[in-house]
Amino acid sequence: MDEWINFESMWPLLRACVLMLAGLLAARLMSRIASTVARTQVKRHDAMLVNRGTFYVVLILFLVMALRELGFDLSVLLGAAGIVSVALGFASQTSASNLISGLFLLAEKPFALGDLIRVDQTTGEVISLDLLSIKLRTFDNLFVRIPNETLIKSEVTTLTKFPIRRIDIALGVAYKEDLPTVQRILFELAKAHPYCLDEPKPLYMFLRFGESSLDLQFSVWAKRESFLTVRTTLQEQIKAAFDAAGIEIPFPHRTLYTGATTDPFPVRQVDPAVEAGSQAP
Amino acid sequence: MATQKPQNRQLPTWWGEMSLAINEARTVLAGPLTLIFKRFAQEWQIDLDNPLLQTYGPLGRVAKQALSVDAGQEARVERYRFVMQSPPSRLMVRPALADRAVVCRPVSPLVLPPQQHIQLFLSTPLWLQVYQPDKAGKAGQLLLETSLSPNAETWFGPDTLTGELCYMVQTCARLSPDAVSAKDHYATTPIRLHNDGDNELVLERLNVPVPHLGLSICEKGRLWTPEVNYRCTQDSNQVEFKIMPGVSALAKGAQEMALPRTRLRRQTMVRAWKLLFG
Repeated sequence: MDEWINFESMWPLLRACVLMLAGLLAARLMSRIASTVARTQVKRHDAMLVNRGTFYVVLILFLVMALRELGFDLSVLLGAAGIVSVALGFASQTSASNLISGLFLLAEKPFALGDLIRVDQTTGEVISLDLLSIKLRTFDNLFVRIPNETLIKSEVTTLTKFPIRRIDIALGVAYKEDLPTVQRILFELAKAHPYCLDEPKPLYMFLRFGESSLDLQFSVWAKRESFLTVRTTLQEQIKAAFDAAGIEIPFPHRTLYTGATTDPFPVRQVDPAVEAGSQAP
Repeated sequence: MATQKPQNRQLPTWWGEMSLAINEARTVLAGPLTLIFKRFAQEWQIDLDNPLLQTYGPLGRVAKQALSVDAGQEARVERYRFVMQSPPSRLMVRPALADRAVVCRPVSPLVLPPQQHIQLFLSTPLWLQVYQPDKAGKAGQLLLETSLSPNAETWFGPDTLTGELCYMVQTCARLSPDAVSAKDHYATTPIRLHNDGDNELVLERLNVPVPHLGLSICEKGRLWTPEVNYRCTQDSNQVEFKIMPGVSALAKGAQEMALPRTRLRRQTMVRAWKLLFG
């Protein structure tokens, strides 16, 4: 008889557990169907949001049904929800902050799934946007988790927002060089390069009289997919073109001066042949 | 003054059906690009010779050559292998217009005074598509698509936020269709410009929306697109542009070769001046 009574009292709990289990399965199934349908209509990022939204809505519906099976009065529960949320907020400030930051990020959309972003020193592809954090895959194939709160607080650069990018090449030439010739060579290289865009026009800037060189900047525009190719090949071509034209890219120079009141450094010119003969055994 | 020779000669064509027996090969010269088609028991091989290293060959010459599996495999050759259980005995080679809009830059800017209109003829580069025929014998699965010549790229728009990535060609902006040099890797687009405004229209660049244009071949073997009309209204910031339906009247005996890649919802569109003339 006791066993019968125990089974009767356990029956709602069992039904609630079954409902939750069914809810999990239904939520997973429904979210997958919803995202599959959405993927044909919208971008991957939005399809993922549809997936997550469907999952949580279905799960919450089954949770409510399970609670009713257990005899909870939902109106009381909803009334208590405010108090519970305040208590939870105090207890898990970090998680709540990340959660709210995640909602802001979803609304603001500074980047989408698949975008390349840079946060502080980390650059990678966004592979997941979750309630508490985003996940990045870096170029060296590392998995990086960044809390949403960090993204809200710090500077985030989206590298794939616009279809074209500017490539800035800093270079220096010797003081003796003819700058109009240098400029002409640079523009010719950009014009001949198959991945450099015709418009916006390349940009040439004289930056400063450097310690060892005349410091210049040459900037060209390219499709973002060609960014690395252009940065590498154009610099190689500049080196080759400067070598061919006899334009010197100087090493750092240092002039040592001992001051007017001291004697100059003693300098002795040595005949290399004599020097070699004296060192022979 | 440069002389303009009439282009009356028949252009040879590089498109059509490529029908080969097993262990047979054929070379196709399409503009600056050389393609070598080879058919084996379970694969089709297509070798593309890099146009950047290729000088211009005779237009459209098609010649059979002796087969060797590794023939023509040089450093500059890109090889594509399409492996199948039972490869079809033929492939279909077709011309297509560019997959992005083409910006035509006149060698020297054109000035169209107010209340004037003019017809120009611009050439835009062609792409080559290779299809596997479907059961009905029509073009089915697209196997390969490549541009026939290296094309410069440019950003077209008022700033780096607004605009689109386009191909760029320099043009002589000929005023007569006979003056346009006949090349088998370019299609000719008739452009009609109307300046209904009160100011001069200075044409330094023109955006030709080729993905929205179809392709037809005329009796002489030249490829044509439908005519595109640009009408600059009193409000100089707006340009009405319209793709004329059907084949241009100048393309005598024209037959449709390719449909537009994307169709516009409306034939007449109004766009900002900066988005069409740069």
